[in-house]
Amino acid sequence: MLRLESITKAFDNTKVLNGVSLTVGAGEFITLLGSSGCGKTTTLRIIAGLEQPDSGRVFLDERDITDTEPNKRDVNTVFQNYALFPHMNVEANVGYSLRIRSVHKNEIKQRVTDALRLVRMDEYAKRMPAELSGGQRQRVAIARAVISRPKLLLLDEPLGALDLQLRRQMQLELKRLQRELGIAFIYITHDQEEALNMSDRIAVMRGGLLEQTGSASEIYDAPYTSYVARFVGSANILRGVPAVSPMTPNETIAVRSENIVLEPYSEHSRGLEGVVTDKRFAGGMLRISARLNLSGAEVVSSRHGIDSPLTPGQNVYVSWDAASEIIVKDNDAGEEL
Amino acid sequence: MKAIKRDKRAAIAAVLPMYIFTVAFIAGPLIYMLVMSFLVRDESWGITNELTLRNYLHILEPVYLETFKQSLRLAFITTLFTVLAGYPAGYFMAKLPPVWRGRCMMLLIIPFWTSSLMRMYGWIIVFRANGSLDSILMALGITDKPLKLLYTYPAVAVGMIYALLPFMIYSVYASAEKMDWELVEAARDLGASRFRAFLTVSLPLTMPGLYSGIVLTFIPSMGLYFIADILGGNKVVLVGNLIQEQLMRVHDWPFAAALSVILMILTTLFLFFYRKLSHSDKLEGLV
Repeated sequence: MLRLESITKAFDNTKVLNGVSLTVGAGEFITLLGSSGCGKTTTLRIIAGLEQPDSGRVFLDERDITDTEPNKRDVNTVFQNYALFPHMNVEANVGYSLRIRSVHKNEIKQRVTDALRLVRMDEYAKRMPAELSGGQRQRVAIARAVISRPKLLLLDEPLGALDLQLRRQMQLELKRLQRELGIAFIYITHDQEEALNMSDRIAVMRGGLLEQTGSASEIYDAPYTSYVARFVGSANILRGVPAVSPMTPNETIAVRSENIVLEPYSEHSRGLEGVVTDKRFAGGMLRISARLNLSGAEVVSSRHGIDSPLTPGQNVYVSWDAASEIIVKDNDAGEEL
Repeated sequence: MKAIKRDKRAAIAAVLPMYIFTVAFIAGPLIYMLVMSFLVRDESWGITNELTLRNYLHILEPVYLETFKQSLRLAFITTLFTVLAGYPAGYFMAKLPPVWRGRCMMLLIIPFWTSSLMRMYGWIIVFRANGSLDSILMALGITDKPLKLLYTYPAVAVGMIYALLPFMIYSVYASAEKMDWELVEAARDLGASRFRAFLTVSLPLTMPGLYSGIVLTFIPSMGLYFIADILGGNKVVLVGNLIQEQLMRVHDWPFAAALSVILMILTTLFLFFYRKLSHSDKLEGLV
């Protein structure tokens, strides 16, 4: 339904997008996942028409909309800071796009009521945006964006400003909304957990390029690159370690922390020698870090219960099941996430 | 207890000078003027203690009503043109990159380094018969003889607009600069054309600036008598000129006082409507 063809964009000679191509199907929930500065917001703004690409084309339903004004695109945006009109009440905000299109008054009233009910804000129709909490503003912004039934809804880190509790709740609601409305969502976030929870498909962005696109399980279980492996589910990248699987020189292995086993030295334990460096609580589990004597690399294990006897400074064997090794392209040596 | 008492005394001592200042220099003269407007002028000089309403009845004479009418009309024209020229200027200035905003602000401020009186004399050179304006128009073949614009109503209007335009630009700018431009993007995203987005979002949100700009131009334009003096000669007489003339030449102080009271009532009414319309007690960019 939406197709981006090798979009590039630079601001003041700084390249932000280096050829982004992406296809979004009707009714699909796709997430652009990446750290700040990777170009995800710029991509969204180009789809909305708020920014012009330097090269590349944007197609919506096979129609080239690259040069179409934002108001003529059947695409709406939920802005990061909500961008509610401060001089209009909730009702007027939500009905804005219908008034612009000169829809009949009675119909506007009905559709505003429906849209507010959809986001459970029908009791707040007469409030001003300044009188609402962050989560409520968020709902109003969503109602305002979906009321005109666009083909595509763009959401720019819509839950970024909310606390964790509310964020979890809104994730579920957004997912429900998307299913009820049948509109395609392009969702931006830097939170991998959010991306894994909500998306049909995830596109991991880095340095103005899509590094990998696939379903949540594809991205998690079969990352192409060490960057994706680390960014999604923070896998251990084990460079210079003998692997079971065959590898080319610019490849390395990644092992999820839940597959890393740490054992105290004993006669029947095997693995690579290492020293425990850190032990932290993470919910019902412990996260234990160890440094490999072989390469000095840090590995994290999250499969130990809180009763684990391991203590920092202790010598351990580090091991993992050969089946849990993932061969990835090594492309992010030492880069901060 | 003692400490509280001392604090209280200190607080009174701190605000007392302000009260004295206000009473002595603002409330006092106002009351003096109000009282004087009901008194009778003495034959030769000063005032007598006799009470009368004659000064106010005097204002109802056609000559003076005409003066008020002319002043109000000029104030409206001045305000209208400062809005038309100043609103876009202030609005687009706020959209410039910060460096250019600073430069524009400098351009607005620089004229104030020279006395406004001097700058008004500058306009004489422009407007006088065969002055710069005439020379340019005739050289371009637009007119074939001097327009003789000096000492006309339009010349005074131009002078007023010129003198008050910076205030309008500044107050609109102050409003527009604070505005969140993402709101305009949101409006465009929701289907509004550039113009619709301006009408429904930018304009309402910069209204406070526009309102204070109007107050800042309308009220002074009723009183800037020296502009009418310099560019209007004796042909354009405004309330300000009338008051000055009654005070300095005719020495009819009570009548001048009555004229001032009416002028003040008019401005107060205007401010009242301003507050009604803008739902605000503040003057944007001033407070």
